[in-house]
Amino acid sequence: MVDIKTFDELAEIAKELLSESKAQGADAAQVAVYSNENIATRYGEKHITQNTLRNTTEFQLQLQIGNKVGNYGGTMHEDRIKEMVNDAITLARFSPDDPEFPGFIQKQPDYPDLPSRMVEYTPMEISDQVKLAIENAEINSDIVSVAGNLNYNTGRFVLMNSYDVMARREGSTVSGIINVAASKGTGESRSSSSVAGVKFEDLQIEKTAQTVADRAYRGLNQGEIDVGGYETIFGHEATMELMFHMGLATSSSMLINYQSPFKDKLGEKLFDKRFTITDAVSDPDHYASQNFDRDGEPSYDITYIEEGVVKEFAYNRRNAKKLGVETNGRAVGGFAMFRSPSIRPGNKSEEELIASVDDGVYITSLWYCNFVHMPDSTITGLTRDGLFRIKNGEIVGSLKNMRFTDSMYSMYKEVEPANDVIQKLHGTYGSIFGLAGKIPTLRLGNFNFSSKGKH
Amino acid sequence: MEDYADLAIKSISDNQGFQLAQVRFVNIRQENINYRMGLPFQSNRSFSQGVAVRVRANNAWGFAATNLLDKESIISTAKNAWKIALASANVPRGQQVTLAEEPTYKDEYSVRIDKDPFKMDFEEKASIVQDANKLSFSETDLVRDSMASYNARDLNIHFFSSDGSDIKQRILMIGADISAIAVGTEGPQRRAMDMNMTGGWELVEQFDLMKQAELVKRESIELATKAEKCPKDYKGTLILDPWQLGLQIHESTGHPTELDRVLGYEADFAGTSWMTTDKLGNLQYGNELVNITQDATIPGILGHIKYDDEGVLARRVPIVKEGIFVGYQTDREHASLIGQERSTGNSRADNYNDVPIIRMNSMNLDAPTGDEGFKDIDELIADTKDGIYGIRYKSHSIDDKRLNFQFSTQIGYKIEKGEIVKTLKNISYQGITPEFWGSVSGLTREFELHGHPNCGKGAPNMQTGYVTHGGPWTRFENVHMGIA
Ligand SMILES: [Zn+2]
Repeated sequence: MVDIKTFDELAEIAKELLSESKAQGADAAQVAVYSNENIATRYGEKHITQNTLRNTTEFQLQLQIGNKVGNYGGTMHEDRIKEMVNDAITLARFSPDDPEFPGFIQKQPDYPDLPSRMVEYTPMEISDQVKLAIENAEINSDIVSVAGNLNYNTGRFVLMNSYDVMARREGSTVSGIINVAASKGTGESRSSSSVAGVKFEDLQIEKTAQTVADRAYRGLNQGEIDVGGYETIFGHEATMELMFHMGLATSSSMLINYQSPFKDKLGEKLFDKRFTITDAVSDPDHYASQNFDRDGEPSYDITYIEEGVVKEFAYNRRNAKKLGVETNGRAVGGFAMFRSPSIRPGNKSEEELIASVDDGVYITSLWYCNFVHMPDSTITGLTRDGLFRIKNGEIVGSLKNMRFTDSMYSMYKEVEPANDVIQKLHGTYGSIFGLAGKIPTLRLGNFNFSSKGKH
Repeated sequence: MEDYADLAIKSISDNQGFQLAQVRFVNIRQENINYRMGLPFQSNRSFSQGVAVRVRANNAWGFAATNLLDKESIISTAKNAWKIALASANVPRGQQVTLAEEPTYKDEYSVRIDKDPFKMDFEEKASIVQDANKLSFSETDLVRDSMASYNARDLNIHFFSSDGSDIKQRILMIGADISAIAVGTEGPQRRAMDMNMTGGWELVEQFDLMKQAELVKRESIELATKAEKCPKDYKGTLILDPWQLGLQIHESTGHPTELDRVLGYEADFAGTSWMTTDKLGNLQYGNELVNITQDATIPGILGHIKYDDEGVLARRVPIVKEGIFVGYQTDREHASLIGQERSTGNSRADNYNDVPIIRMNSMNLDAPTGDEGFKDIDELIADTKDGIYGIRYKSHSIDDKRLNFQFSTQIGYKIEKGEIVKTLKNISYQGITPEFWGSVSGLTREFELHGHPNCGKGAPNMQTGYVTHGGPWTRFENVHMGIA
């Protein structure tokens, strides 16, 4: 039985924090309260290695005295409300004026509808899914290891402020990773896939485990290639990995600190005409859907890359005020970011895209990708869990991993999306930022490898 | 709390298959004061408190946590941990594991704090941060963005175990940082300095934010206006400062020697390791100049603890000795899996609701002693015919087995005939771990250790690790630089 607070209980806590803030001298305040249950099950070497259940109620309070601001957050302890509010009050009182503080929303917004999606799972039901993943991955005797995680979250969230604005949301998500190792002789090969959705059925654990195992098995006996540019197919994982970097590059926070490569490039065609990305927050099946952001601003779908043109940056209220524009409801804590990318599909299948490559590679996943110098959009990272050689339209063997160093302008200069859209949690930042995409396989005209990996 | 811990343990200890329970009460008070371009910027205070029960039963682990600290909630959390252990045993490990032995302890410990920041006037702390921030962009219009921060994280842990440990620790972490972004004709360049240690406000005073403000202003402007790009595809000598050397150790020595990775338990996210168990004791990891030691007992460093979150006493552990790989980082379960008698004390949890996992604490390259090596960076540069000297982290990336890395530094200098001849920007270097550590050609006796409060591990509930790394100024040969 899931043990989280009701909307009414959360609203009571929020009201108490607001009235205590007023009593202690705040002119206005806004509070967000969350109650959450999380079961995170990790497995490796075909057994469960760690398994955790967490019940938490946390809050974040922001208050103002004139133009002075105090922020306070943490776990909720109802017997400490006076003390916690006092800590926020003293922070505000002794701070200088903050002319960039945008204030709180003063009129109840009309939030778009977003159906609530709550599912309940027990620890045993979750470990049964892990069992399924392990059993289905064992496609032959060369499968030596199955690792992964399965993460179930269910929670409620209430945001209220002193102007009687109220927003609330509830929902559940399930997500995870399945990683399979195959080994023959002294050779080893791994492959993996992330999964994300609202309920177990969305994850297709059996099928995913089989596909991953098959790819791991096909990854044995790696050959080598030279550094340089190759026609490249990005599998779903690889496509998703770099959506984080696109998210950073289109964040107004990165405009303010001069790091965004797209500063002063709004409206310019920077990528292939076939490259269109929408932040599809209204899609109820999206892992990261939302109808309002952390500022309490309504969130609507935004197409931020349209036919290769950068159309829009992600704003929160603070950044928008500083840059003299309106917010578009993309506050994530103190940051602003598009987190629900949906890439417009093309009309070919993955097989057809592969068939169109004469001399290139197929990349399953990318790993440890970081900007080398963000203002010029250069990123470095490595392939992982399955790099394959394509010749004359066919996959002809697997390869040792390669490091790439390439700019976003160059890699997305020629992009053809396939028609095979599925949902992926971001490998690195998915569970931290709630970053997930509905994305297809991509064919890139050229992708630059800068050094050779050793495995 | 003793009573509640006792009740929690008693509520499950008679169940069939019970082996061990650990109850960990944690409270963390934090304060962040930030200024950006002279204005307050999202300063924040927080407090989090809760309890976790970790149970070993039927050869499997269970863990549950709550922020509710009343008797009923704590007992129901223990029962939840039991349910989780049963769910874990549903997909069991084939092999029976007996945790590595550790004595039990009754102890109370605090890091040394001369000036408790939580007992100071808020304005005193804020004005120091604000003044430094203002200085970093004063009298220039080239610095377009600048930030200065101070933060304190007051971690209080009370650990109980069913076999009799009762350990209280206070670990007060203190940090300060300052950065400036200057914009020149060829775009923006960033320079940043930071300090992260355990102790009190006195550490912020020693760090001297005003001095650091001058430095980041001067060098960001130099980078944006005068510095040349790192020569393209340059192969030669590279000297790293102790900060960047620390990152090198973190990524290419620290992560691959975490035993959970090595054994495949981090394959879902963090990756595995090329330093497999068959290589322990015989792998030529670097050349004879390379001695890398883990030591969380060093007082004052960020990675300092007295006990880890399984109640294991911290100790010095050699990882690489004269170039040979000799040690892993373990917890009690993983130590036992490879037949080691004791855990190395690397089991850490970020917060009350995080499960302890194998984390680095402090891992450093040993500096030479006596007459060995070079006195300091000046002597090392004077001995270098032609090369590049790179300082502080800008970007990093390394593969999932920790072999192929590519890093960049914020600033660097071209060395010719033993002298610095010009300032360089956008320095990148790439290498393969054992080849790189095999190419060390010089170490200084002077060394520095730096704290890094930002190591991520533990998907899907990512935890932050607070680590320390460093060592001497170190020279490497035949390094591939100027990649991007
Ligand atoms: Zn790390």
